[in-house]
Amino acid sequence: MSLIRLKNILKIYESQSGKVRAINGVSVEFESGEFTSIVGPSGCGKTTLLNAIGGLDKPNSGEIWIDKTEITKMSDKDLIDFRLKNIGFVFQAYNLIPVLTAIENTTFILELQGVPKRIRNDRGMELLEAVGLSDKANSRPNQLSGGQQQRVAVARALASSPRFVLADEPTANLDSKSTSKLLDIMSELNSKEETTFIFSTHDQRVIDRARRIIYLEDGRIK
Amino acid sequence: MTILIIAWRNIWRNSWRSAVVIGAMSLGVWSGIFMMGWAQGLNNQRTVTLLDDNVGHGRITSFNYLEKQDPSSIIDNLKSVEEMIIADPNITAYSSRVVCNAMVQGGSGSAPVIAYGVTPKSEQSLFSAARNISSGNFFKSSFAEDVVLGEKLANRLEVEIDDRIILTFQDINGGVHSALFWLVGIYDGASNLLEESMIYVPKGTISSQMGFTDTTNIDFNFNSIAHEVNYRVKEPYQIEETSSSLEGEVKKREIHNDNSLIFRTWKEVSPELGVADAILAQSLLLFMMIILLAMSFGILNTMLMAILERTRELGMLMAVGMNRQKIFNLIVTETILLSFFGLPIGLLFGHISLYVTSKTGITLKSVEQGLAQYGIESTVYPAIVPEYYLPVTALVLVLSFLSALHPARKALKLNPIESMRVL
Repeated sequence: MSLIRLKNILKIYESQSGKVRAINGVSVEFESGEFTSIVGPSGCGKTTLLNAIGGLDKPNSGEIWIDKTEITKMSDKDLIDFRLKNIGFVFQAYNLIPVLTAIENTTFILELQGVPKRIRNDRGMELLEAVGLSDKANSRPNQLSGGQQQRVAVARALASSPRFVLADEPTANLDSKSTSKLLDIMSELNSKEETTFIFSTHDQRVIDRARRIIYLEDGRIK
Repeated sequence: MTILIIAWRNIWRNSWRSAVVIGAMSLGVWSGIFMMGWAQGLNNQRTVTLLDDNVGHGRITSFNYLEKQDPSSIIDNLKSVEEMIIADPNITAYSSRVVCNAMVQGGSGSAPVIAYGVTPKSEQSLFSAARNISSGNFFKSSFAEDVVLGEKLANRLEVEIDDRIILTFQDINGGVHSALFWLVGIYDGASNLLEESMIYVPKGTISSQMGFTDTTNIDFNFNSIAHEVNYRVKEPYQIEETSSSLEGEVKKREIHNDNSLIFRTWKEVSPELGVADAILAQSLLLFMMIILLAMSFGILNTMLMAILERTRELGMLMAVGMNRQKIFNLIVTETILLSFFGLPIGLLFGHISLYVTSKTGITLKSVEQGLAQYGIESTVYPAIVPEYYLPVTALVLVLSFLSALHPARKALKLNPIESMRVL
């Protein structure tokens, strides 16, 4: 059975010009360990689809199953808990907590899960080492470059060993060197920790590294 | 733990704004505490002045006299009671009085008064009204036909020193008795009411004229006659202990039949003074609450601004799995930390200010006469009020929590996706 299953997802937004079908009947499945890019032009519904998979946005109709759980039927409260335990997020704008250091940001999810301090610090350092930032463990986000911040965000997303990681245009704000480094890291973690990665992107550098590509246009899979 | 760290660091993200809120809170607590100490000091001074002037700290009265106002109901076995009072290490002075409701006539009019039959030395050692003689002298003998009036009454009756005064009163046999006295002194009391209603006469003279000579037969000794015994203790606010101890001692020694004596503290003798203390305490806390309430609106505004500035971050926290309870805790913790930072500073400065001014006093020359009307000296010594620190702390805690509720509610209403779109 696939890890993630989307059945006939429909998401409609109300706008001034009328109703917009951001996702228009999408059905797709993702296997465990995938390294997949959802690509398409701006406004094609990539982020909306990713948000729906992550339980951040509820579709108007259709079903989303994560393993044996249908998240489209979950309450907001249960969804928060489900996200905490099962999904890692990497956002376009890094979204680190500005008052926490790199190691504190990395281990933040583990703290929310109630993992003991020693264990979460070991895991945090292991991941910062994996993303090449062990020497920046005590630096705050404003002391890190954009690329470094995004690597901390990846480390944070992976800290609790989630079932899958959703990355919304993770390289959009990065230069070539940082993009390349980040993709290397994610690719390596995908192989080493068998973590499932699903990206939304229109960055060719990411598309080139993806092992599966899903094209989205006008809310439909092409 | 991380919530506390995040909350603490969040406060200092905008250090200038936080410093202003903390400064305002400190200033509010400081001024509030100082005002409480000031008002408490003023009230204490007024209470102590009135207690010293004529009320006393504790009073033992014959039950029958108190209940029926029967002049013949004197304290039995007075000598034993006085011995017990002398033996108490907390009691510094006492005076046994014969009390007589009378009508005083002299000069141009008459007035109802309470005539106190006293022995000059013991009365003067206990009450300042008997010491503050503005004209003439307090009588020296307990058997003279002398009288001492208050200034207000003397003015009203238009009498002067050496004028004749007629007292009309009921003797112990129920007969109405009139006696002639000579005005030897005029006292300056703590209040006009006191000066108009209280007069002093020698205890021996009034006891004899009230008819106690007949009942005590040939061995008449006015020292064994009194309707009430007033006493002063070292610490008037701990009078309850001494009063209970005396009452226990009377029962233990079986000096009196049960309930033949009534032991009262100044709060019972003069309830308006005790009530003033209680009302003042509540008023001061209410006053403090108003100050802190104003402060809490400042905090609320600061927290709302903080939420607005951190909408994106809060959205992210919700997105990655921080539940509503933790978001709520974060906002409340930040608010309480902000308030609690100002609290100790305010308390410390308030305490130091009160400590210094309680030693030096603050002189109010411009309202000197007004204060004197109420028996208060123009130099006010604020009181140190540690008993208010805990309620003030609790108030700050409660109001901080309440002022956190609205911003926290705003934060909880945020939608993660929409919040993260905010630039």
